Amino acid sequence: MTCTEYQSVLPFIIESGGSATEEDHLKTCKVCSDLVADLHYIAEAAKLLVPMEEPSGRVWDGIQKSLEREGLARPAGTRKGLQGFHAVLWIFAFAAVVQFVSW
Amino acid sequence: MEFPTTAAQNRAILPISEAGRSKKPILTQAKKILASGISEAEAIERAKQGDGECFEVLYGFHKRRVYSLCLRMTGNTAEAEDLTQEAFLQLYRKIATFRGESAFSTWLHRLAVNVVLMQLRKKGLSEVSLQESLEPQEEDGPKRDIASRDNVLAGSVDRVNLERAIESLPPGYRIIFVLHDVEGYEHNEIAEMMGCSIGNSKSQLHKARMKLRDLLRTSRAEKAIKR
Repeated sequence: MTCTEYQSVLPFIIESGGSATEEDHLKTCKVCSDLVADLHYIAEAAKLLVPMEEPSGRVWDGIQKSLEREGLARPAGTRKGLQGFHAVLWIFAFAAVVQFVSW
Repeated sequence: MEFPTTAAQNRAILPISEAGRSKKPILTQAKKILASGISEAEAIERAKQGDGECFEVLYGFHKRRVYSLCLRMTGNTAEAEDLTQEAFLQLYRKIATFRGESAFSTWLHRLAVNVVLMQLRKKGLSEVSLQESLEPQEEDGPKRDIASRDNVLAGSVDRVNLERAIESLPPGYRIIFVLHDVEGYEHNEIAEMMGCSIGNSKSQLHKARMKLRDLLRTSRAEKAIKR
């Protein structure tokens, strides 16, 4: 088996292992064994890559704005503001009813 | 804060705080929840019930991993941020459908991968790259000269070099490499996600690794010359 022949099937046997002929070539050929060692090394090194990067605050801002635009959420702080506003409305309404009844 | 879990449920519009801003030192409700030692499982259940602060907690738990995935797949910071945003928006809309059949991180991860792939399909990048990779290229052939001239790579590659090399891969190669070697997807899963054959996935991964090998060897040789 030549290097060209071995390397043409390598994508399909690198994980599972090849036939006896292919394995024999790998054992005796420095070029192909170095290549396979490198490819395994790259695959192993990639597994060790951990999530290092953190998204900027722009991402969360975008999420908030999109949800607000779609009506699924409203800007922070408006809840308390609206609760206060509603309370004032209720007081006014109650006062109006009391005044109307007493009149 | 609460948010609706389905369209049929109460559509009370409630505020989202600023807990997601990583650099702001404001102790928001979401951070208080996080500080109380809530588990991810609890946060998921409460988010499914409409607890918006718990959604922010989940964002805090997973933003780094989702963003790193997007960044590695696209190789572009701005695009990765947009895709991270889109992935979490989809999470917000779909979290009620999470049934716990797989780990939440796996489910969210798959959702994020789909968001990235959809974006790449819109841009037509992956199709172009897949077609390109099917064409035989001189650089894809056996490289007896290089292999016999240098030692193997083992021990000579650091994380930064590898990240840079991955970033400089053509998009089609990069996506398959990231999905398989970095994120741990199997070829059958990749083939399903990418709409290609398992053989194509294997072939493309091999070409990606070969290209990375060249890039890393070149980088090593350049460093050696500088010394």
